[in-house]
Amino acid sequence: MTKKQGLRLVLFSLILGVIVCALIRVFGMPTDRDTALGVMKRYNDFYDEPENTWDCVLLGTSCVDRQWAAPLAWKEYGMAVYAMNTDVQPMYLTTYLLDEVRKTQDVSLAVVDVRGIKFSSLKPTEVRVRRVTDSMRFSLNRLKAIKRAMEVYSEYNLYVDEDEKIKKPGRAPMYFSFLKYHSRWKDGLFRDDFIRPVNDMKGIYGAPDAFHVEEVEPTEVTDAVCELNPLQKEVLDEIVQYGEDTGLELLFTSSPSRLGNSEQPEINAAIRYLEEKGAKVINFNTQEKYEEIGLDFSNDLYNAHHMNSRGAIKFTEYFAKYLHENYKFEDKRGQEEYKEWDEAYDRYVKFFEEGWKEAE
Amino acid sequence: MDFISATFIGFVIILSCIYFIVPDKVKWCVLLAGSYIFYMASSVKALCFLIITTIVTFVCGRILGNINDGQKKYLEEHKGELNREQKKEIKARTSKKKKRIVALAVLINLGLLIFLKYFNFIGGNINSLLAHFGVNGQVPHLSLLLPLGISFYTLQSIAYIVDLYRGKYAADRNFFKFSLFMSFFPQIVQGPIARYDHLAHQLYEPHKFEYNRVTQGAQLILWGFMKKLILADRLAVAVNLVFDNPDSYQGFILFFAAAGYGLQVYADFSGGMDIARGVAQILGIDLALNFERPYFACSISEFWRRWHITLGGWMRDYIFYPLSLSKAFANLGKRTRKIFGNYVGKKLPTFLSMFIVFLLVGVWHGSSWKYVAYGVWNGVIIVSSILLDPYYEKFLKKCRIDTECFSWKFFQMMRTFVLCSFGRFFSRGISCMTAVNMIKRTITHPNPWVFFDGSFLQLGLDYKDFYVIFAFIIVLLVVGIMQERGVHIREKIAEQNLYFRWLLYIGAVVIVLIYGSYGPGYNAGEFIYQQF
Repeated sequence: MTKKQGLRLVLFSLILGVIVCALIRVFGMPTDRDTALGVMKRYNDFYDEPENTWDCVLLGTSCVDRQWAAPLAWKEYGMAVYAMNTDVQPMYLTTYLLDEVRKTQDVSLAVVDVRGIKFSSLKPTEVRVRRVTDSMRFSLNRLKAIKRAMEVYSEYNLYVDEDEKIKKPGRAPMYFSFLKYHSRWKDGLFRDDFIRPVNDMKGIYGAPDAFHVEEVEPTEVTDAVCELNPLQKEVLDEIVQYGEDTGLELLFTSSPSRLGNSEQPEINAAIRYLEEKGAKVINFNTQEKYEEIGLDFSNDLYNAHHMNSRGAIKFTEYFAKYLHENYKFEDKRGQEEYKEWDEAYDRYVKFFEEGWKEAE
Repeated sequence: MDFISATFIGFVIILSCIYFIVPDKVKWCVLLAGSYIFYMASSVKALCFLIITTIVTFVCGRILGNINDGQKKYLEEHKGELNREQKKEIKARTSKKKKRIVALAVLINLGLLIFLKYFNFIGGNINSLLAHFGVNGQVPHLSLLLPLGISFYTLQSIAYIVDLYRGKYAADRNFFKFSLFMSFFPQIVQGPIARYDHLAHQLYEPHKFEYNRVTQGAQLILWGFMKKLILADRLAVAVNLVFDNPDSYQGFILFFAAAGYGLQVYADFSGGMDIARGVAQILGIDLALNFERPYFACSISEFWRRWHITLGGWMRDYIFYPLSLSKAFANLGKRTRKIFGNYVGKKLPTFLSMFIVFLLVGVWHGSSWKYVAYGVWNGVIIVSSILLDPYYEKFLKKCRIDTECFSWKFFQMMRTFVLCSFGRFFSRGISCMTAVNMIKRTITHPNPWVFFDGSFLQLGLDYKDFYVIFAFIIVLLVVGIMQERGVHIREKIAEQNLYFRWLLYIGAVVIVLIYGSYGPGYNAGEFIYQQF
């Protein structure tokens, strides 16, 4: 092979590599569904955020971004608190997500919602796992997260009947999502597939149901607890241990919403288990907390499990005040680096007003 | 290790790098090690069968070689002393010895293949037969392993032994080199069935890195990927659905499935061949051509000369000629001439040999009556077409049909395609009876409305899939027509500007990546002929 031929080979490989990478990026998680798009926008925004500008990160299931209006907390207290939740976020991936966040953001607090500890939420379905792993950039941490998810398939199946056992997806398509998504050409590709969509309101939930009201029966609060199974305990232990190992302060919460009688004992048991381990926990599903927040089940939710944007304001005002009083995050309002947060607030106000106007 | 996998691509790249770096003397050792690693990655258990066949063939080959050498030497030494009769007697004596060795090698190698591939089939049929007489389950059903590529390397070993018997070439003296011939990784999975005199010396000779050869090999691999992933595996979705639920369909849908299977097999098998030949080409080795645009054939016999050429060649050299030229068949011809007349009597040994060949081709594909029927189908069509040829010629003359014009050739191609497609009912159908029923329902339930009412979109493929299939068939056709006209596509591409070439290559990769049928729900790694 002559030098010229060698050079050609290298150049060709490079061009091909770039094109393949572009293809992998275009053929990612489908963007034609609001929830998937919302997750992707927030994660893309996270990767675009200036380094070490966040104070705190929120993790958990879909309820988290529905109830947290980050621009509002910013406006009120100058705190940068970002929600990195995904729908039915697998709690066994929490530590990997924390690692991902801490690569670029030196957060001093992580708030982890415990609704995901319900055994039904730990069910490792492909879409739940993919919402997290396909939103993560390619890295060793992403590979580790996928490996952990694949392990949970086996662990989960230990506690269910034969007919409820979950079939593991193929490893290769989990690691290389292009293997799964390349056939998306049939469903159509959209602008968002080519130009990375970002959330320009610091993670505000932007789907139309944020402006929908559904009258929901209030939760019949109970103190009942049930026995957590070893997988649930293992997941909680992993997170607590992570906090101890890294020195990251953790705050566990149980997000306020309509909870059924079957759900509460599991969540109560998780809260008790965490408290016994010395972790800090706030259970928002008590009558007292509902009143403190001012939660109106007939007006503040768009379905039993999710707050609408009015409920989000109530919760954010309450929780941001709590964070401000207990964690003393520096007020960064007016700092040049945080200009985007001010802009996000302006967009949020407009979005909120127009959203309700349209809905009503 | 599947051809269609990142592991295989990585394996080929690493092996090629090592091959071109190491000294010339040990290049063949790299190929041997690579071939065994490849085989073990696919099936460790089956390796012992490959080794047994290699040892038996090598040892028997050496004995045959020694006998050949001994006879030659003796005849040379006693050149002036022996008369014609004595020479003949010596040759007859050594021929007898050689026949015993050939019989032994064939018995072991073929016996192994028959035992592993056909034992349960034969046993099942014996049991069914005995059941008719009230005797139950005499022959047990064994869970036997079918070693990867056994149908291919067994034929390769028999060809080597028979060629040595015929004194075509000298026996190989190096066991390890011979092991490489038997196990060369690109062709062990599904052929082409190599001949020793064509392949062995290429494997043993060192090859230097040649940029143009490597890029041409890579192009061939890419073309193979396109055939397999864009056409074969996409068609497989609809074909499998219909053949797995044959009672749910009729008329044109059934015919579409059969014709689709024909195209699927072609794209799958020839795609696999392109990958095998491309990999070998990168390493400087030229594997035999196995397909020559079979769907351009104007008759079934021509189709079989263009389809799986190396199997056809093997059958011709080791079954057809020995049978049709044998004394027994010549005598049979003489005797039947008296009964059926000169034409039939003269042709009968050929017909019978052909029929046996196609029966064996059918059986070679698998242990089931449907494959026997597939062989019979092809045999009957070919024999009857030869038999009816004089009448057919008369008919064409009487109707004043111009047999040289394009429309006639096109008609012949279509006729061959339809006949081949009907044969596919046997090779793909669940059973022989299912195939017969499918043929019956194809003919007796014509349903042209399926072309308009969206029935084809209920076969697991949407209209976009059909567009892709249609577009790729057009590409195949254009490439085929160019090749028929003697255009060497890859050389033509090499003549183009660099920018155009790169655009073409990158475009092809992108097309495979996007439009290929792989990922969850597909079994891209599996090739149809791998199971034969």
